[in-house]
Amino acid sequence: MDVRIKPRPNKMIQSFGLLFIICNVQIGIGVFGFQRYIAREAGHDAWIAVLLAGILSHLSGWMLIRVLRRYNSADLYGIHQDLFGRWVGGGLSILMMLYYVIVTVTILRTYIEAVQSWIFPEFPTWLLALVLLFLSWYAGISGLRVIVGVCFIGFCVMFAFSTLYYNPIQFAQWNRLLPIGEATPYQLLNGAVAMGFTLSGFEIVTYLYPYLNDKDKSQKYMQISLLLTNILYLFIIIVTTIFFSQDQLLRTVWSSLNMLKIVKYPFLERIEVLAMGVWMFAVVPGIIILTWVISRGLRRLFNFPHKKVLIVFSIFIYVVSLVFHNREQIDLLNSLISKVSLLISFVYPLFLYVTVAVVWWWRQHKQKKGEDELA
Amino acid sequence: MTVSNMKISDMAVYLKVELKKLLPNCSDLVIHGINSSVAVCYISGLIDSKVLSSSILGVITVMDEDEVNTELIRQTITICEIEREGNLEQVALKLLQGHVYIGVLDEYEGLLCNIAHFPTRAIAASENETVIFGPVLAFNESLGENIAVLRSYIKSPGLVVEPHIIGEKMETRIQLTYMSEYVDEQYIKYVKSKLEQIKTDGLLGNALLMQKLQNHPYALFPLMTLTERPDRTIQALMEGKIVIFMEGDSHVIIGPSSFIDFFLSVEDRYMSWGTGLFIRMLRFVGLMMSVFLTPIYVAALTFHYQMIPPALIVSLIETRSKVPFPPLLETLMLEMTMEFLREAGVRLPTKVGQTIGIVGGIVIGQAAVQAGFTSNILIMLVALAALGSFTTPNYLMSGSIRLIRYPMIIMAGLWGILGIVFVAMLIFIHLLRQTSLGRPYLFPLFPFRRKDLTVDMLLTPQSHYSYRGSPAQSSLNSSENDNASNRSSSKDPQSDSN
Amino acid sequence: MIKFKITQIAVVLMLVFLTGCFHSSVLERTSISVALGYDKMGEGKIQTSSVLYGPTSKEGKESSHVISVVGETSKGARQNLNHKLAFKVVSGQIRFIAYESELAEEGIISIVDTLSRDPSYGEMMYLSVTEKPIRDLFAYKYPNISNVGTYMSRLIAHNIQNSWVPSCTLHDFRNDYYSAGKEAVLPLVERTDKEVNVTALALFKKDVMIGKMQPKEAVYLKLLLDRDQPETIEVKMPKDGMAKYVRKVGHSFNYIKTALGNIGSHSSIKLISKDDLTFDVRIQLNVELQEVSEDYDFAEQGAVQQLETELSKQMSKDLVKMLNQLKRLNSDAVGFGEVYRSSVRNSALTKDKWQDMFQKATFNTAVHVNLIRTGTIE
Repeated sequence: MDVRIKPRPNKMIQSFGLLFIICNVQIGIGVFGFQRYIAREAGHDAWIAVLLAGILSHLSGWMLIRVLRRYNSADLYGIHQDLFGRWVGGGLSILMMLYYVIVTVTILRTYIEAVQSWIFPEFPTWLLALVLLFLSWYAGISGLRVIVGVCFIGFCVMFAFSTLYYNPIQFAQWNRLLPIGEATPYQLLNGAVAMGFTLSGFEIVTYLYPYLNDKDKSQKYMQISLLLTNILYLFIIIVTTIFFSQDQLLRTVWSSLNMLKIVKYPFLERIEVLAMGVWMFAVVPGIIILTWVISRGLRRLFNFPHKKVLIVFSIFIYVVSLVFHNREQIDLLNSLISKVSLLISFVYPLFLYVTVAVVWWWRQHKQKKGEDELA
Repeated sequence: MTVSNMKISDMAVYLKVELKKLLPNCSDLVIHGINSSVAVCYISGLIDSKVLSSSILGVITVMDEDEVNTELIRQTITICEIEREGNLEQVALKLLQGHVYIGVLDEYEGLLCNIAHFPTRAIAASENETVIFGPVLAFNESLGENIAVLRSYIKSPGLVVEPHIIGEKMETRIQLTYMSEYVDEQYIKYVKSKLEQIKTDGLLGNALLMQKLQNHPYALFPLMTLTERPDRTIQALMEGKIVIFMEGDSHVIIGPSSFIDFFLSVEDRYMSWGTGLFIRMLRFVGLMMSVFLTPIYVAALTFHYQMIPPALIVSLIETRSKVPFPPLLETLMLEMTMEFLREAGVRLPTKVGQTIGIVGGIVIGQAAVQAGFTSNILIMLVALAALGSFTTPNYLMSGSIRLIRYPMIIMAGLWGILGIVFVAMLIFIHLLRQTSLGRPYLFPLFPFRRKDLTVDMLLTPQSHYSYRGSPAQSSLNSSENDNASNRSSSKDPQSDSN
Repeated sequence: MIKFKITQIAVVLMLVFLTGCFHSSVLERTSISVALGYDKMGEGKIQTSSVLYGPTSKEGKESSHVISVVGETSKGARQNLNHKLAFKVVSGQIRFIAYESELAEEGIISIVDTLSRDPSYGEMMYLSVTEKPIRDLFAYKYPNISNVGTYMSRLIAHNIQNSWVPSCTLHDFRNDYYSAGKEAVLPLVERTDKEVNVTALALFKKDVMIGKMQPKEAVYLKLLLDRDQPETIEVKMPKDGMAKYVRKVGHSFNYIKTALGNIGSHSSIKLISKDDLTFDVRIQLNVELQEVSEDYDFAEQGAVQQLETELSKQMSKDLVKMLNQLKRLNSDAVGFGEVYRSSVRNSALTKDKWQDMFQKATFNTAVHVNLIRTGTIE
């Protein structure tokens, strides 16, 4: 396997596309119910925790791009091999892929759970999983450009729907935000950690980087997309805090959907039903990208053909997602994955940044020494 | 087998024998011996008999039988398109294209004069793509006349007209036209390679050629535009698109087209920008309505009754309580009725077609409600949806839009809102996968090009609008803008992934 | 390529045919309930009454019918409704829910939470309390009301918007119940002869109804809650300093009664001292005079100012009366607790803690009335 890959020009995308991809990976089904996990830790100061986690994500994203820029045109699989050698690096890559499998299953299963508890209690799990995976497979085989397109529509849907949260503001009690900064730094940190899983996913850029056309703009769009995500989350957490009383929030599983229940139009009521369905547009892109990353990895490591891997993998994820039966298991899955995702999205980039810096310094040093000796 | 066979004494007899061998079942072949040494052959009906009698027969008959030779005839007759031809097989082919063959005894080569006069209709107003104002002209079936119309608008030598022949048996002539300064080489290459690949006996019309040119045989939507309006064609040419004319078809192909193009009419630009913009937006609202209105009705009534506001629910219950069918069936039946009406209206002669509208509108509409067949709210929704689809200026596109409604209605009846979103997503991914001459089908929207999108969608005032580039700019061709736009569009074409 | 497409189409078709049937609720094949009422029966049982429109109503027009059943739990009773109906009962269109006061006096949170647990209920339905059994209110054949369920929701909605009823949706109730420093308030509705009335407010302590508040006081509560404002405020005050501005006195009078149109008010509550629990309660009112009981001479110098001060004084008094009532009942319907929580750091306020503290709270009240105009005449 080569460390660096040179995709054909017609398979490449513009850095602008990062905007849609990153936002879609970060904002998925999590946006419906992330609030109470943070409020549980940080109370009404949850928004500070979200802000904190957001700033950390910017930092983390910055480091990732720096590392990638050093390699010029390599993905994480390649970097692993370069840094840790074929076996250790390969092992790490496989671990990453395993992680993405579990994330995909989590997203899939959480969305199905939401649909079942909100609009169709009897909708069979296997069927909805099949529908979602069919859509993601259909888009996945069509190449990265189509994936970006699907992400684009997901992005539009998400930001269009977030304007609906203007309505809850009318029922707001702003003094719920006061006193600002009551939570201790430790609580805030815990809140930020709880936010970690919701924000995670932006490390996907490490797999997309070689496919970017104008790599010099990647940092810019990476930061813009992180900013958009953070603004959206900040907006929603503030609206949630002023809309619900604290205990009420802690008892509400899908707070974002609950807030939509109050939206009324003369021709349409109960927007949450609509939102739940249309959110498929935002969930499917996440699944598409993750399956794409996994199948890319299998191609890179074992040279399996992309399209066949995709279908085999969809079936695999499908089978795994059917294992989970009730909300307890899904919550367990969520809490398990949240810790790992924190590690991968926030700690791992730092580790990578430092390692790459050290290794490259060492190599340059050695090279110089070699040149000196030659001279 | 040559004319110079010395044994022959009568040219007409000789030609009769020889040409009958080549064109054995051609009863309209006329071989007219003027005297023993000169004969004129043609296929009656294909030639202009006035020209024949005045310019050819009138000249040859006065010549002295002994002095006559081809050179003399060539110099004397007043036809501009004359060539020499010795091979009788070629002659037979040319006769089929409306040439007149003049054979002279004792000479190897005869003369072929082109006085073809195919039956055509006059250039008339466009009937299928009507506009309220602006030029009403439409192309007709004659290739030459169509190109002439085109040239009458564009006098630039940059207008390239490239002939091609399609079909082994029909040998239809087509013309590939584009503006050499504006066009992207990529599209030309693409079209030419596609044209070369076409192996067929013949194609009847541009609609078939269009299907041969697209990469996706299962595409639900038309991937290129068909139009019979010269103004639309010229606008496309000036925007750097490729236009294909075909002999015998009044419609031309314009490519590459994007999804949005099908909802734009040239007429929009003739109006003030505000009105034009409004009408354009209206069409997109019409599109949304025609696709989503009835599925949402089905979904809401079958599953999501809580979404219906209280003011509506009373009247809905009132009308629905008499209907014996589930909403899905009710809607499908009414939508099918609508399609029957449309199809019947098209097939019947114009005068009877009007009565169909009355029968459909009043009798079926009123009676269906009174008989408890459907609810009157649904009638209104179906009518709105149909109207919405008819606002689409392109007939092929409005057909596609009506088609995609059906899976959506069925899935809405089965899975409610999830079904609608599922089908919408499928269609969306399908649209994303399509390319038109290698350019993504959702072009200015995705890949996102702000400039093209504002031109296409928001309809900037005419003073801010120019075609792809003003001639001055493109003739320099070093201007940064032009280069940038060339590069950006050449990046887009996507190799077909399958 | 072709084979590939066929697979795709096959998968789609398979999806369609495999599902076929799962639970639909076709509009006219369901009994759509628009209002629910809970009455307390003996032995801890609950009687649920439901107003429905459905196919059983003949005209389809706003007609309704009422069904009542008894069950062990509210949800159970609701399920039992199905025994009496041709179609399944669905609850997505319910807009009005009433609890009998006997039930409310025992606590209703379990029933309320049941509603919120079920996603088919909306969050914007109005809750209220009745003193007499709800079955009476629902089942009575009103001559002028075709569907009592939708009528009730409209009645309450418009009273929230224009009058003294504070917002009482399911969301509001749960919001207050689960917040540390505020108690819920619900309107009391009643059938009086041939019509229904909003008579008073039911005050809650947690989820238990502990008292009533009359409209006169409720206006001030509404002014403090500060979302929609009451349109008209009636003030009755002693004549005192205003007697001299009254032109003709044909009869003896002690009070002047006025009706004020509220054209913009603002209230603010501030915690002044966190140790003494003193709150500064201010209301700023811009009003126009709509009615005055005596022939008051506005043209005279100082007449308007005098009226303004008297109004302010009287309203301030009334406000204190209302606050004292709340204190007596120990039901913080205004939300002083929330003000306390938001202005005192690390208060770690809980509902129980605040209930003890609220008894000790004192209030400085100030009402400032600004008479903008006296209508089209002076």
